[in-house]
Order: sequence, then C-alpha cells, then structure tokens
Amino acid sequence: MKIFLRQHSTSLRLALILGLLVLAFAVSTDFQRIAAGVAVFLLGMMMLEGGFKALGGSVLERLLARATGTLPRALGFGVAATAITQSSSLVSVISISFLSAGLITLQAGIGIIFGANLGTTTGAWLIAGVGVKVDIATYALPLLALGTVLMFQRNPRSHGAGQVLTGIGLLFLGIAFIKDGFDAFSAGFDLTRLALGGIVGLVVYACLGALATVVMQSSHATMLLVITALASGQIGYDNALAVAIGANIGTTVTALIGAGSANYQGKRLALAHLIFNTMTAFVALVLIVPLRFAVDGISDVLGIGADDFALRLAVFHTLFNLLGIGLMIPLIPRLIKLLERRIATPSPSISRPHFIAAQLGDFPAPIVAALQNELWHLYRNAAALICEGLNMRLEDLRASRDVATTVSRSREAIGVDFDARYHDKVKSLHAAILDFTASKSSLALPKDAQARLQELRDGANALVRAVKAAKHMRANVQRFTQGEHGAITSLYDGLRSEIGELFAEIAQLESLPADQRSALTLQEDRAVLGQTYANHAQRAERLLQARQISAGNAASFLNDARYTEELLLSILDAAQAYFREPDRALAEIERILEAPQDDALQDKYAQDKYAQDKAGLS
Amino acid sequence: MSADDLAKKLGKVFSRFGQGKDQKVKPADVRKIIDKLCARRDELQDAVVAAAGTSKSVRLSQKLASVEQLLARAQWLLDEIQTQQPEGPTLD
Repeated sequence: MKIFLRQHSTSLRLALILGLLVLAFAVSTDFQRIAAGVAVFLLGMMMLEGGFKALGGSVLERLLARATGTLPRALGFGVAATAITQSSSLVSVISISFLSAGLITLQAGIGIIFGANLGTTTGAWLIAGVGVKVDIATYALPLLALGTVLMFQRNPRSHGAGQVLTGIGLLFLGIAFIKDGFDAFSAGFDLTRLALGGIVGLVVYACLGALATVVMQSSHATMLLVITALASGQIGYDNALAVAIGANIGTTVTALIGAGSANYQGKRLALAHLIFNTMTAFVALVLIVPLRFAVDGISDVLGIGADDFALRLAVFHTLFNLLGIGLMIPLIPRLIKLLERRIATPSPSISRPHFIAAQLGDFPAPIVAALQNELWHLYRNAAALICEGLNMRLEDLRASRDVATTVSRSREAIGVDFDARYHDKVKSLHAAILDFTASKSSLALPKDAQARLQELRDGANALVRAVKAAKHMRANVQRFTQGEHGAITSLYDGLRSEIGELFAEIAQLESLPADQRSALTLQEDRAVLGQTYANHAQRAERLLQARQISAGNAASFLNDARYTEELLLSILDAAQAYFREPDRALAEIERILEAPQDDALQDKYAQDKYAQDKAGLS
Repeated sequence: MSADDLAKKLGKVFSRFGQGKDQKVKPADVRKIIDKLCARRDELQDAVVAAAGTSKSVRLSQKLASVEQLLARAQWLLDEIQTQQPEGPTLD
C-alpha cells in the first residue's frame, strides 16, 4: 500500500484537487467564477512571462550582465525587472542560469532575488490600486484581440509583443472574473464569520496563504485573491495581512522545487531565497502590531483612505519586504559563507563537463558563456594529452622562457595511455559539447548566438583533430626523442618546439586581461605556420643529401611535419574561437581581418597602402 | 586574401548589416582593433630588437610582418567604412 501511494502520489494529489474543485463547483456557481478567474489570471502570467522572454529577454540579459558590479545595482535590477515583467520567477530563472554559467557572482544573484521579492509587491499595488477599482474587463477585451493578431505573426518580436498584450488582457479578465465572483459570493455567504483573531488567526491565515501559493504556484494569484476578497469584505484586514506573509513563504516552495534540478549554484540561490523569505515572514509576524501602525502612518501620508484596506495591504506587503531587505543586507557575507558551507562546490572531474551541464535555461548569454568555458576545459585536457603524448609537459612549456631548450631537455618518455586518456578526457567532453549544441540548436536563439555556438563547436571539433594528429606522429616522436639519435632528433625537436611555442603563447594570451587580448594575435602564428612546412622540407632534404638522415626517416619526418601543421592549425582554430571578441561588432571586424592561411602573406595591396599611409604620416 | 576578396567579404557584411537591424559596426570599433594591433606591433618591435641574433628572431620578425599586414587591412577597412557607410552599417 505504501509503495502504491509513493508511486502514485502525484496522480492521487491531482485527482484529489480536481475532485475538490468539481465538488466546490457543484456547491457554488460563484466559486466557479472565482476559480475560472484564478485560472485565467495564471494563464495570463504564463503568457506574459513567455512574451517578455521573447520580447525583452536579450535586454534583460544585457542589463543583468551589468548588475554584477555592486549589491545596490543587483537589488535595483531585481526590483525593476520584476516590476516591469511582473514575474519574479522569470527573473529568478535568468539569475540562476547566469549564476550557473559563472557570468554573475553569488552575491549578485542574492541581490537580484532580494530585489525581485520587493519588485513583486508592485503587483499588489496594481491590483489594489487599479484592478479592484476600475472596470478592468473593458480594457481586457481589446488587448486580447490585438494581442492575438500579433501572436499569429512570424516575427519573434511581434509574436512576443502579442503574448505580452494577451497576457495583460488575460490578467485583467482574471481579475474581473474574481471580482465579480466575490461580489456575487458576498450576497449569499459571509466568510468573515471564519475570521480568527490573535496569534492563532495570524498563524492559521499565514499557513493558508502559503498553501494557496504552493497550490497555485504564484504569490501574485494569492495576493489577487486576498485583495479582491478584502475589497468585497470577505476577509478581515488582520487575516489578510497574515495571508500576505504566508504568500511570501509559499513562493519559496516553488523555487525549492525548481532548484531540485539545478546545479549547486542554483541550489544556493534557492536556499538564500528560502532563508530570506522565512526570516522576513518571521519578523513580520513578530512585529505585526508595530508594522500595522507604520502602515497606517504611511497610508495617511500617502492619502490612502482609512477604509481602503486593499491599498493598505499593498503598503504592508511592500513595507515588510523592505524590512526584510534591510535586515538581511548586513548579513549577506555571512549568508554567502553559510550557503557555501552547506552546499559545497563539487570537486571537478576533468572527464565531465563543468559548465554546460548546469541549468542554463534558454537564455543566449549564459548558453554561449558556458560553451566557451567548456571549450577551454576541453582545450586544457587536449593540450595536456598532446604534450605528454609527445614527451613534453604543458606546465613546463607555460613556465619556460626558452621553449626550444625546454623541449630539447625533455628526453624521457612520459607514461601515458594515449587512447584511454583520449576516450576519458577528450572524447567524452567532445561528445557532451556536440550534444549540448545540438540540443540548443532547437531553441529560437538569436542568429549571432547560434553562429557563436557553431564557432565554439567547430573549435571543439578542431581540438579532436589536433589530438588525432598527435596520435599519428606519436610513435616516431617517442622513437626519435628519447635519447640522442643525431640529426633526426634535432628535426623532431623542431616539430615539438613549434607545438610547444604555440601552447606557451596561448598561455601568455590567456594570462592577459580580457580587454587587452585579441584573437588576432593568433593570426601571427598562422602567418608563421604558412612558411614552416617548406622550411622543414628544405632542411630534411639537405640532411638527406648530406646522408645525415636516412631516406626512410626523412619520409617519416615529412609526414609528421604535415601532422604537426594540421595539429597547429587545429589548435589555432580552437583558440581563435575561444578568444573571439565578445562584442559582436568587434568580433565581425576580427573575422573580416583574418585571412585564409594560404594567402596570408599575399596581401600586397593592403601592405602597400599601409606603407603609403605610414610614409604619409611620418 | 586580396583586396578584392576583402572587398567581397566587406560587401557581404554590409549587405547583412543593411537589412535594417539594430547594432552598428562603427569606425570607432575598427579604431579599437587598430589600437590593439598598434600595441601588439610596438610590443613585437621591442621583442625583435631584444631577440636580435637568437633563434627567436626569425619567428618574431614573421609575426611582426603579420601584425603590420593586419594593421594595413584594418586601416583599409576603416577607410571603406568611413566612405561607404558614414553612419556605420547595422548588424543583424
């Protein structure tokens, strides 16, 4: 029986809710209207969220990227974004995806979530100030008609605008339904008979508020119900205050459920949200009497009527969330320490993806950033394997001042199972990257984000090509560079030095601040590479003529020189994809300036013009 | 890449930009790239002098030639953008 209940708990819960609803519909037709109003309101919220995502997702992302600097900025972003979109869950999801991709700090994420809590109180103001006072249904109908026309447009922006208009229309319609339902309900029933006073009333109604928010998955819907009920006299003011406090707790349950599938950063943010809302609710319950006095004082100053309990509830909602922020801001450093202790950063496995496995949503900036970081993770694995496969150590090359000398001293074989390492550290990550880009290609991402994802995926493909090239030349490198074998050793050291030089230069580029480095630096290496194979061939030919190397070894060397060329070009492709300018315009200029390797030194026109300009300037 | 190829590539970019979109490649953007290239050229010029007579000298000279070529192209691109699209093209 227990197993049956556990296996079918979701279905049983759904059946219970549906059964209770049907029963209530049979008892009261007014309840039908209220329930339909809530349903239409929730549909409107979903539509609004989808519309803002399509219409302003990129704007939100750009603003969010700037909200990382200071806590006030993060708070401000949270308040403004939630007030505009009326969706704290959209703001939370974007914050979690940015945090998971490493684009914002945990402190910024916490600031945004705190701000979003305050921003969500604007919904209560709108409902109490406009929704229950104006015949809002008259505005709903034209909005629905206009919105639906726009939603049928193919253009994503028009479609998004249509969703926003339809969403607002549905919200208005939902409010009107609920208002009418409560007005009719009041004629037959008096729910104020169920009012509870004192601490019991506070606790019971706070629990009811939390429960309603969990069931409807929206604190806005709970606030709508309580404000409308308050306006039609179906709930007492004190009990309504308790419901508002409970709604704040209930909303964290939704966030906690969502965090179940998030990575450790998402879990930390959800826990911060829970701590903040629970503490705020606790303080509000304890300080309910002074808070009520404060609300009365503020309402009098704002000119809110003594009997306008709906607007006074909105004041209370904002005030206690502000109080919570005021209390929690000084505790944020401690909160971060607590979160980092309770939800530890998992020890990274170099075989598994670090960044693309996180919950990134369908927001372009975190998706691109995560793939860029994962490409670099793959680069590190591939570079270490290539170096060790060719008897060198990546860390020695990075630290070296004279790569050629470092290489010539690397004579001992490094015991590495090349194939096993390739499967474990390169192929597995490459497969994860391919899977990630394939899954994201089905999203309606902007064209430049799609192109960037393809560029990064191609970079990952290039790294695999580089490893395979190293595998082909590995046997000869091992044979001729373990110990001295005369001229052939020197030739192979030359190949290894070229590889080492490139890895050292990439490490140097990586160490520069982002605003000082450029993918164009790697174009220099492409130009150098353009002449390298010919030099190797000439040198091998001279040594063969002088009988310092055998014909067989010369042939092997020339083959391996080609593999080296392929390896270096592939590494350059990957590094250029990674170091590409984040700014779209600058990236486009870089792409224009990058020349195909074959023609790299044939741009006479450009060289002559530059020489003329230089002469003219001097 | 010849000047014709560069012009073709630029033409493609302009035709994409010209579809009434929201972001622009401005002369200031090209100047930013030119500034970075100039800084890199100066750095390489110093490195070439410091490495004179060593095995690194040839590689560094080749890199310097490449940067100078990129600078020439960037300068050409700046001229083209300033003459063809004084207000700057628009990215899609």
